[in-house]
Amino acid sequence: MKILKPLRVVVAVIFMLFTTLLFLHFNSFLKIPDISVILELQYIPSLLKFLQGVTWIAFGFVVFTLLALLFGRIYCSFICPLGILQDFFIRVNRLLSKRNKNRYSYHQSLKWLRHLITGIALVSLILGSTSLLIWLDPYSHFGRMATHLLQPIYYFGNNGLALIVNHLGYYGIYRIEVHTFHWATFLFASFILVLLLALTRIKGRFFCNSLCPVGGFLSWISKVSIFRLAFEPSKCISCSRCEKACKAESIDYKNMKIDFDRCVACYNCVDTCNVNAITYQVRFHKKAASNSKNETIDSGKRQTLKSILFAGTALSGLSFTIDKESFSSFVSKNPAKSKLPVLPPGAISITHFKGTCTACHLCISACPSNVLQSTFIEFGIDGMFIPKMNFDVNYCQYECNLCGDICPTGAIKPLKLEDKKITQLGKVQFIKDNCVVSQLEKDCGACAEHCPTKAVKMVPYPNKSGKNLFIPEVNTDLCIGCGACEHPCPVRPHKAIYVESNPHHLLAQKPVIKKIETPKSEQEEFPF
Amino acid sequence: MERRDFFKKAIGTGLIAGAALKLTGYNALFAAENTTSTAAPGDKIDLVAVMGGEPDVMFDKGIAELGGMQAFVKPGQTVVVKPNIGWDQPVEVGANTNPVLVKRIIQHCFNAGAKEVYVFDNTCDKWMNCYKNSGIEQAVKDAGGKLVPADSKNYYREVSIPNGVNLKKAEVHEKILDCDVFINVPILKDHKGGRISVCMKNLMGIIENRYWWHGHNLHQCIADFATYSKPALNVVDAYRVMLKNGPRGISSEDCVIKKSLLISTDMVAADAAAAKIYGIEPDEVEYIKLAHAMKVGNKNLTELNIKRIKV
Repeated sequence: MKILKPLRVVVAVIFMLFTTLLFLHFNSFLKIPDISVILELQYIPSLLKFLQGVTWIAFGFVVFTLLALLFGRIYCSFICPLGILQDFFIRVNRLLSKRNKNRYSYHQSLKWLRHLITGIALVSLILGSTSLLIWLDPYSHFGRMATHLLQPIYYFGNNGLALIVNHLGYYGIYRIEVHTFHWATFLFASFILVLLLALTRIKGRFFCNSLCPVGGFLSWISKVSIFRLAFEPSKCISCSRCEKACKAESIDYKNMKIDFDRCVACYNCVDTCNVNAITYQVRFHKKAASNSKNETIDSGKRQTLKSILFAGTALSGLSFTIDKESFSSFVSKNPAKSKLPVLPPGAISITHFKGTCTACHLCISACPSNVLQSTFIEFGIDGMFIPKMNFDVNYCQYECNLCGDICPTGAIKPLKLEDKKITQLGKVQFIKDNCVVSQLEKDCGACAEHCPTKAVKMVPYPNKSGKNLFIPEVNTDLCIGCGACEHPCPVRPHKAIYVESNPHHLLAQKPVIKKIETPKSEQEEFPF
Repeated sequence: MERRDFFKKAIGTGLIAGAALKLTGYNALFAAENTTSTAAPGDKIDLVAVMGGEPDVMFDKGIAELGGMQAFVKPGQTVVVKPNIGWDQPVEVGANTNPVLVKRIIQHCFNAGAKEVYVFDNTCDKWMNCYKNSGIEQAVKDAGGKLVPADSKNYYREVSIPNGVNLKKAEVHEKILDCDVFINVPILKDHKGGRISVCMKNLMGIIENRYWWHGHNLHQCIADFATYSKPALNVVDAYRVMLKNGPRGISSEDCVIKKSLLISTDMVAADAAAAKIYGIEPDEVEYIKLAHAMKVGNKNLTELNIKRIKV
């Protein structure tokens, strides 16, 4: 039994390390085969994948549901990055505290809140919406902290190092700019971080037993676990060490009672007990208490939650302000902005995306060009923080399909590169009256230059001054909506060319490849 | 794992590659010396045009006419070789400078005694992909040069352009500002905004905010900047010339194999000759006319002493 805690720590450290590395700098870790497969073990993402009818086994939630049925909430301390993060805080706290002692005592957590949240999460899943999971899923909370709080710190350190080694003439380490900052997401992730720091300090794993839907659901299952931690009364010397060590505050040593449904399977009690009085025991008797009463949703509470969400909306602002610096020597007048947010390739439709994305922001942390950015309420109040393609920051790289490959929930489906290259995220719109060529009667061509499919091409532009000019002409059939035209357009405040989002992705035509007609490809004489 | 790999390999392979390079490098130098004898001594050559060979062979022949690389790079000097690496495209598409040429130029620089050769471009597509898939990363590594990033404002310093009409200041990459010798190595290709992209247009890859130029009379900005930045040497890759769908290109079908190379200290002359290879008159390119008028160089090919070499 004593092996349980070291085992848990080893597994947790490995998972935490790899998960964190995935979020920190995805590109460089792609070379390790299948590292992102570890995310298949995450509970909510694998469940969402399963609900989409993915043919192969989405095994994470199956494994940990079965394990819960056998041994309790293994997920919570072995795999859940937010759980492991809390354990890390608790450990640091203990190292820093003067008494260096465990000081938890048996408390009932907010049972009604746990059941309410779990119920709400379940109902929202059944209704095909992730709007509440965004606010509750522990993995996604961790993802946003890693992307918006940890990654910038990592980049800062990297850039410091780069400054030094570049100065010494070594360029294998290079600067990486932080392009992912998004104020609302930053505040939200910071709030959860501070909340966890505070809660772990006073109440241990309180979050996991009151606010976490995965913890809540697994607590229902572990009510009926076959093997469960329990006291062996003959051995117990009532020393209270186990109760003080229990981060879930679920051990009552005086009554030799363990609330196993709240146990997060950290095995600190097993480890700390000098007389081996806490062991896994088979449980056959005693019926599980029915929770059906608590499963019904308290509409009043839900209303309150909704009004909190609306209050948040009132504080809304721009998510990413367009570069105000005047790029063009005239001011454009016609608004040029997609009505709906543009989805990443593989996201299928706004309905699919909103029904499956939990805003873990793995794609945002990994996107090589940083075109994927967090949103606030662009997807509506029921889809906050979901990523979108933000062409003010950059454009989607033609040769890249990374986001679909790594998305753990199936919100962004993996696409073969050849399929991604004809997936139409939106359609290009050209506003002639905003264009440099028509307004200044000067050459530009930045949009057509970047277009990978030549959906935007330059055609002769007859003009008053009789100059030999070219102006963009668009062919939406060829357009894939990558934003390569919108991003470099130098006109401000409204660009002359932009991508109008397809709420449901379409297929574009393949680029036209035509051979150049020349009688002979090699010249024999110099043309001058 | 890029970094760890680098650390592991840097010491081992670096030494071997360096040694190998020295050998091939000296051979190239000999070849160069053999061909210089064909040039009439005393004549100042304005432009060398080579045709019919592979990019590296053409460069060997061409640079010899100008007195070899040692005429431009002195021992112990720091060199920047600036190819066009703007796009995440393979060599066949002709969107980026030929890596074979880039490699050979770096070798010549080291043979002339260069202390360090830096290579970079402020790319359009994601820089890491451009560097790698263009083949230039490997070419630079093989030749012993250093490929440096250019994707952050931190690498740029503001300079003023006293003779600029539109462009009064620009942010220029620190490697250009700090080096002793700047060698401009563009690829000739189609570009509807600038008509063609050659030497002067390639300089948009050493500045930070090129989109500003697009919004403020592109041609004038290109010419303005050419009054400020004059590379010691310009080598135009016209081996594979993209004639349509430029400057990014869709496929190799956009290119015609011209097997040509131009070398000149005069960007305007090289751009004018390149326009002819592309198939248009130099005067159809406004920035060439403007730069000529601003005395950056001479666009009139008939007034130039052109050395033509067929390989």
